[in-house]
Parts: sequence; C-alpha cells; structure tokens
Amino acid sequence: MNIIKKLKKHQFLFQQLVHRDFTKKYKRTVLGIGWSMLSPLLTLFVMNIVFSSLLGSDIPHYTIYLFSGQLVYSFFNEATNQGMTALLDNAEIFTKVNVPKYMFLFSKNVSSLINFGLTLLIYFVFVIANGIPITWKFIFLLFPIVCLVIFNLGMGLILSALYLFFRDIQYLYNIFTILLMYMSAIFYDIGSFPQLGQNLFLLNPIYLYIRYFRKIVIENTIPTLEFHLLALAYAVIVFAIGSWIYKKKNHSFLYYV
Amino acid sequence: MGFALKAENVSIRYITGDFKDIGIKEYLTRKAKNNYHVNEFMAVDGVSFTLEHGDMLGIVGTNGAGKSTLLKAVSGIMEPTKGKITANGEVAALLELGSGFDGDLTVKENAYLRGAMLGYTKEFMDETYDHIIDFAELREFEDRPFKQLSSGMKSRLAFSIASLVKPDVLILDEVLSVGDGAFQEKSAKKMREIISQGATTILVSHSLEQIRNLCNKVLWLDHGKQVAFGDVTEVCDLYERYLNGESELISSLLNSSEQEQQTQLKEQVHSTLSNIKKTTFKPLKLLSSAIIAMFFAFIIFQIGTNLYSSNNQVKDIITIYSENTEKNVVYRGTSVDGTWISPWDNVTDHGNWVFNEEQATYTATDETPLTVEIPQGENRNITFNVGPNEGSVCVEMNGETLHFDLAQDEVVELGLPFTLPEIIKNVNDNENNYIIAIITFIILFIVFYICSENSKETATQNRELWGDVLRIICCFVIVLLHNTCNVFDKFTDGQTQILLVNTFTAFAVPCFYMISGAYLLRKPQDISVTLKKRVPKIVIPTLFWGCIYLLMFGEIEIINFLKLFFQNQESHLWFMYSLFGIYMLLPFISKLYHIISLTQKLYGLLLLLVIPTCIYDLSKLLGVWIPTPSFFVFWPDLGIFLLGGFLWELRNKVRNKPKYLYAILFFIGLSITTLGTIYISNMNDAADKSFISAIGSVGNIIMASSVFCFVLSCEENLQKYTNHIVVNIINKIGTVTMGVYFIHVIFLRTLNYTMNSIIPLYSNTGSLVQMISSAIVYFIISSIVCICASNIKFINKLF
Repeated sequence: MNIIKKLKKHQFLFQQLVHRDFTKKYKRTVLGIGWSMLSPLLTLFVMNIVFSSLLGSDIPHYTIYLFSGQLVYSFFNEATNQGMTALLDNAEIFTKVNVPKYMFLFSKNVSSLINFGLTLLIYFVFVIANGIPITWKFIFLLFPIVCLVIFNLGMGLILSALYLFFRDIQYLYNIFTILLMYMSAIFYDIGSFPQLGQNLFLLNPIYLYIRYFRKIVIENTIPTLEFHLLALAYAVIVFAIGSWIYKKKNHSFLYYV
Repeated sequence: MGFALKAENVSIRYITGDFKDIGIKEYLTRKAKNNYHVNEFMAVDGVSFTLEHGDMLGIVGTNGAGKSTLLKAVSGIMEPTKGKITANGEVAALLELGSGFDGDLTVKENAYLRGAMLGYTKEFMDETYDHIIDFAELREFEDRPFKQLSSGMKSRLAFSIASLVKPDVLILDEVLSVGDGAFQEKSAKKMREIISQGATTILVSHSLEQIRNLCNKVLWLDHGKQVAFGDVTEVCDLYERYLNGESELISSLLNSSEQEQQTQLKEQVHSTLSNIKKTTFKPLKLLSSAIIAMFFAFIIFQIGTNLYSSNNQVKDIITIYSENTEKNVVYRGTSVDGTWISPWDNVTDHGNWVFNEEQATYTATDETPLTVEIPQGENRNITFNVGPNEGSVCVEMNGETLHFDLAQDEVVELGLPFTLPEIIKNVNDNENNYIIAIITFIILFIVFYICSENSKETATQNRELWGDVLRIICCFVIVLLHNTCNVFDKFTDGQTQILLVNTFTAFAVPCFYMISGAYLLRKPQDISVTLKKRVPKIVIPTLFWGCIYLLMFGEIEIINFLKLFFQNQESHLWFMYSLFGIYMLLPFISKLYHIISLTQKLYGLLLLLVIPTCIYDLSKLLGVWIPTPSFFVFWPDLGIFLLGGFLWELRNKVRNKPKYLYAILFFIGLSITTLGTIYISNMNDAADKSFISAIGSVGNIIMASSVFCFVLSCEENLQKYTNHIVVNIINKIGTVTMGVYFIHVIFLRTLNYTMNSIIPLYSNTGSLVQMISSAIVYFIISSIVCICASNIKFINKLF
C-alpha cells in the first residue's frame, strides 16, 4: 500500500527524470535515437561476418542466433552500465531533496528499455526476413523480457550502491561484462561442451535469457517449467539483494558523495 | 496538532574519513595495514525546539556549527542518530539553491524537473509555470540551456519555484541572499506572504538583519550544540555580542563548553585506546582466519575432486567371447570398488547372446561378442557362472586379452568374480585443484582477517550452563553415532559391543529437540521475530551446507539443488528440516502452550508421543504391521519438542528427585532398545535398526528424557563450578553445536582418506576403540573450526 502511494506521489518526478535522461542522451548526436539502434546492428554485422564462417556453419539461422544473443546482452550491458552511475550522477539532487533514490536508477533503466524495444522491432524484421514464421508462442518472449528488466534493475541497484562506495568498480565491471559476453554463448553453440559444462552455463542468467529467446524464435518450443522458475529466481534474488542494500544504506549514501 | 515541527534531543552522528573516493584495492590495503580510519563526530548534539504553526525560525551559527546537517535531518535526507523529529504535514526543503539543476536542459525543463522534485503534480506545474517564469523574470530565456544563465538568474528561478510550495514546513538554506537588491526585496515580500498563509519556515542565513526582519524565533548552534533558542531579538543580541567578541559564550554556553572539553578528553582517551587496540598484533585473529580459510579451501578442493570425478567418469569397453560354443558361458555382471553393476545397466551390444530376465544374466549362443561398459576404478571384477558345464571365456579390454576358465567341479550359486586389470586414475589431472585450493585459501584468508571481530566475551555470560553441557554431550554423541551407525548393518552375534554403542547413541537427536523445546517454549514467540530471526537462523545454514554437501559428495544437477528447498539431500540433515517445520509453527505452538493447563499438556503429550511410540514399538516387536488410523496425530518430533518444554517447566521437581533415578531410567531405556533390537533382528534374521534409528521409540525417549533431566538437575552443581576458562570453553562450544552438527560429516567422510598417512582415522570401520577415538578427533576438529568461525563476521551465521 505504502509503495503504491509513494509511486503515485513521485510519478511526475519519475516522468521528468526519464524525460531528462532521454533528452540528455540523444540531444547532441546527429542520428539521435537512430544511433542507439544502429550501434547493436553494427556490432551484429561485424560479428556475423567474422563468426558465421568460423563457428556458425552448422547452426541454423545463425544471424538470428547471433542477434538473439546480442540483443539480450547489449540490453543488459547498457542498462547496468548506465545504472551504475545513476546514483552518483544525481548526488547533487538526493543530498538536497528527500526523494526516493531508486528513482534515478529506474529512470535510467526506462531509457535503456526504450532502446531495447526499438532494437527488438528490428530483430523481428530480421526474423521475418530470415523466413522464420511468427507464431503465437512469441507471446512468451514477454517472460524473459520481464525477467531481464527485473534482473537489470537488481544489478543496477547493487552496482550503483557499490559504485558509490568503491569507484573502481567501474573498471572491474567492465572486465566482468567482457568475460560475461564470452561466457554467454552469444556467437557459439554450447553443444560441444561436456554435460557438466553445459549445466554450468545455467548458472549464467544472461545465457538463460538468451537461450529462452532462441528456444522460442528459432526452435519454436516453449522451455520447461524449471527453466522458467530458474530464470525468474535469478531476477527476483538479484532484485531482492539490491533492494535490501538500498533499504539498509538509504541514509548512509550521502556520506560517500 | 498543536505544534508544526518538534525536535526532541536530536543528535546526528556524522562520519568522515578514508572511505570516500577510494577503490577496493586501496580499501583492502589500508584495512590490512590498519591504516583505515573513520572519524565519527556529533555534527548535531542534543538539539531540541518546538515550532508552532506560522512560526519562522532562524538558525544562526558559525560555519560548521551543524546548521545544514540539522536541516537535512528535518527534511528527511538524514536520519537522527538519537532523538526524534516530528513534523506535522509536508516538509519541503530548499538546500543550497542553484545546485541540483541540469545544465544541459532548458530553463523550462529544469523548472518542471525541480517542481517534480519538490513534489508538485504535473497539473500544478502546468498551471503555475507562467507565474513562476514571470516572477523569476526569465520569460525570454525560457528555452535556453540552463547553463547559460547567470548564477543570480539561477537562484531567482530556484526561489520562484520553491516559493510556490504550499508546504506545512518550508526550509530555506541561505536562499534569500540571492539576486539583486530589487529581487531580494521581492523575495522577502514573498516570504512574508508565505508565512502569513500559515507555513512554518526555517531559515538559515548569515545576515542577522534578515533574520531580525523575518523571523520570530532563533536557534543558535555552536559546534553542534544548542547555545540558545528563543525570542528573536534576545538571541540575536546575544549572538551579535558574541560575534563582536564582547562576550564569551555565557551561562549555558559555558556549561556546554565544559561538557565539550570533557567529551573531547573522552574522545582522546577513546581514540588512543582504539589505536592501541589497532596496533597490537592479534595472533588469535590471524590463526582463526587461517583455520577457516583452510577449511573452506579444503571444501573447495573436495568439490573440485567431486566435479572432476563426475566429469571424467571414463568407461572402458569390454568385449566378451565364448571360446567353446558347446559349453555354457553365463555373464552375471561387473563390480567396481564394491558397487555392483548389473547387465541391465551396462550391456551396450549383446550380439547373439540371450538375456534371461529372471536372473538378469546373458548366455552365449555362438561366438559373437558381448559388449559391456565398465567405469574405471581400482577394484574391478567381472562375474560369470562356474560349474562342470561351463566353458571358457575370452575377455578383451583396452587391447589386453584375458582368458578365464569357468569349468569347475562345484556350482557356485551366484557365480564367481574374476579380477579385471585396474586403472589407476592419473593424479596429475587434479593439479588444478591444488592451485585453486591454494588461491582460495589466500583470498579467503585476507577476507576473513579483515572481517574478523574481537571475540565477544559479553555475549556468553548469560548462557545457561546446563544447556551448553547438554548440547555438547548430544553433539558429541551424534558424531559418535554417525561414526558407528553403519557397522551394525553387518549384524553378527559377536558384535554386541557395537550394538550397545549404537543403541546408546540413539538418545542424542531426541535430546536436541528437547533442548530446543526447553528454550523456545518459555515464552510465546512473536511471528515477526520467528520469521525474521529464528527461522533464517537454521534455514540459511541448512541450505548452505546442503549445497556444500551436494557439491562435495552428490550428483551435481540443478534439480538436486532445487530439491534442497523441500527435502534433505543429505541424510543426517533430516533433523534440520524437521526442526524447521517446528520453528515455523512456533508462534502458534508456544502461544498455545502457555494458555493450556498442565492436564491439557499431558493430554497433548499422550497423543503426540506416548501412544504413537508404543504402537510403533509394539508393531515392530510383534512383527505385524499395525495400520495407522487416519485420524491419528503422530508427530513424535513435535511431541519430543513439547516434552522438552514440559520438563523444563517442571525443573524444580526434576531437581528434587535423586540423581540415581535418572541413571536407572537411562539403563531401562537402553535395555529396552538393545533387547528389542536383538529380538527383532533375530526374528528377521538380519540387522534391524528400526528400534535404534526411530526417533519415536519408547526406549530412545526414556533415554533422552533421563539424560535431559539428569543434566537439568545438575545445574546447581554446575553453577558451583566456576573455573573461568572451562566455563568459557563450554559456552563457546555450546554456541556452535549446530555448526559442529553441520560440518562434522565433512571431516567424517574425507579426513580418513586424506589424513590416513599422518593420523589413522576410522569412520564406520575398525574396532570400537578406534571408532570412538576417531569420533573424538572429528568432534574436536569440528569444534575448533566452528569456534574460529564464530569470530568472523557474516561467516558466523553459517555455523
């Protein structure tokens, strides 16, 4: 009840923050919003040229395979990287005015989500161009997207708090995301690993969400219930940890800026 | 209502120090060098004031007096460390105007953003935007980027937006000194207007004139302390005189400065003390973190081994030919390190061999090969039928050919095993494991050293000695139980010693329930306390160690980890899961327990404990299965838990009975279990442990209650025993018995392999003396690890 009241109270602020983040992000670029769609496409293009001859020969619909990975990974990467600085960037505000601090993070995430939505549209264009039929099962894609958004928010909460405490988290996290990219099977198939290795991939939530996309789009099958639960569990756990940190540290954040 | 804002004895602790703007590396190195300093001081110390509606409070004081900090607390950005601030209604704060705007946005966008931050609605902003921009005289700059404005313009905008607030409490921090002369006048006018509307306002300003003009009350702060609070002219005159150096801080200030000196002195002493503490070398801290790091590195090593072996279970292919088709060849199966693998599971290609489903055997019909898979191992056998009619067989494996002659005078009923060449696993493949273990050790050692605290002496003083003694006894007996329980399975007549030890140990688990009952049923338990404290206290470690066990010994599959939430995946953890259920019911049970009368309690015990256990024992003794009536309440775990609470309630009666009574009772319980086990084992011609292992068996419960009562009645004797060191050790071990319960299994299962060359340890093998002495070793090692862990933050929750 309290939360709904609070959200309602700060709805306008939230709108304004989203508006600010979005305009600030694209104000000075010539291509504007188009740029944000173009950059994953360019990455995709390069990856497709490089890897399709190396690894993709026996993977059906390799472009879509690659794009699914790239789509999910870049959303995660963008949302968390921007979310990390959200708190510190707005230090001037939250040390002067009493507003819920998670708002800054959430608004950053909204602009990443809009970006993701636009890229998703292009993704579907690619899917159709690749001759993959769009079925009712595509509705299930909402599930990994919702999970991913929650997961991103949770990671953002954790990272932005950590970033406030230790500024070098940024560099560590950059290394981490690069490692994560290689660990998420974006451009290769994990079928060649032994069973245990394949199971270890399930520990990587990003891989899980990518796999979900591929299962629905390329294989046209709905994953098992366990798969759903695991995907949701990661998101909820990470979000819970993040919220807990914010709740616990709410009043000590301002010592660190 | 009455007041608009009330501050009661507000103190705010402010911290500064090395934690700002440092990275992880810096943090760790400073921590390690003891060069990490955090200073705490009271930015605001014991400030109290009350404001009525429409009051305007000015706060004066030199720089660093704590004005801004106090305002932050009033506006809710900070939380008072002590004291309380109550506001009736909305609080809007304007701290340091001009900051918090975004230079890249236009003036209009910034106006909306600021409005949103102050809590206005969109409709309100749409309505009043024109008014704001006109008041700030910025109409022509509306669509310019904000950073192009001059600082005066920025403040004008800020003031214009803020002054529209219709809050109940308005906070202005050095706001009115902005803008040119004309605007200052305008803003002062506006302020009076707001105040006349009934808003309570707090104003911080260095301009005394302004305060005299606007405010009706003044608060004077100096170094966080309240010097004066009161009427505007009075306090302002005082402050002015102080500023001009005409007067020392008078009366109240004198007191406070004395206090200040005292506190400064105290702080000095405190800081030197803490410096001494910091600089002294702490070998115990070092040792305990080293032990725990070693323990976890050991776990990691074992996990690595388990992962490796489950990942690299290489199988050899064996092909079997019959050499003489006129005679029989019957393949029965293989065994590796004592594990039997039947033909159902390992025949990959049977050629023309015929499968006999009844006996699960393959019989050769011609010379085609039978292909069988067998995992690698040291002790590998292949079993064939032998007898006068059997022929000979040729076994090919890894290019090696073996011939077995199966012809023999006598028929052996289940065939004879023939030895296959052993393959010794390549040890070098495990080298990574050592490296990982060493790296883990180093990292954890550093982390634990940083996280370790000084041992808490005070916490142990309030513990009841009898509870700790009983816990230690039970815990040791459980270790003993787990070290001997499998031996009796090979029941033979000569092993009555083992049987006695086995039956003797059966009291430990019920006793644990009784201890929990005795402690937890003392008062009704709160739901929130139960869910927040008690349940996590056992659930978190249970899940953690459950995971560790799975990783160390089990099959590493996701589904097994998910199962952990519902079932024990490691047999001895059933106790925790059962206790978990009882804990969840606790708010309900404990409340109920306190309402009902003595007879009702007895009735409950009769239903939950006495009748079910009697029926169970009877059915076992008679060898008939007595169907459980569907209306029946049979939860001996809960029954024993209640029994513990019940006996504790009757502790005075328990203490008055002679102690030999409990010895006799214990002996009776032991005899019932032992004789009963011998009787049913003989009846079934096999070792039958249902009497020993069942928690709800009459003998066990008699034993458990007699031990419980005995230790309870010894409390007075224990209290007389005040050797400080011994009591301390007992308390320490008593606090970590749950940890010992969790980790002893790890040692039990692994130490006898890894340590055999140094100390011979036995688990579930060897003679009785060897097993008991090994159990003592396991118990001591586990206790040491747990005690060390209890000094380390975060980790101590797991033990």
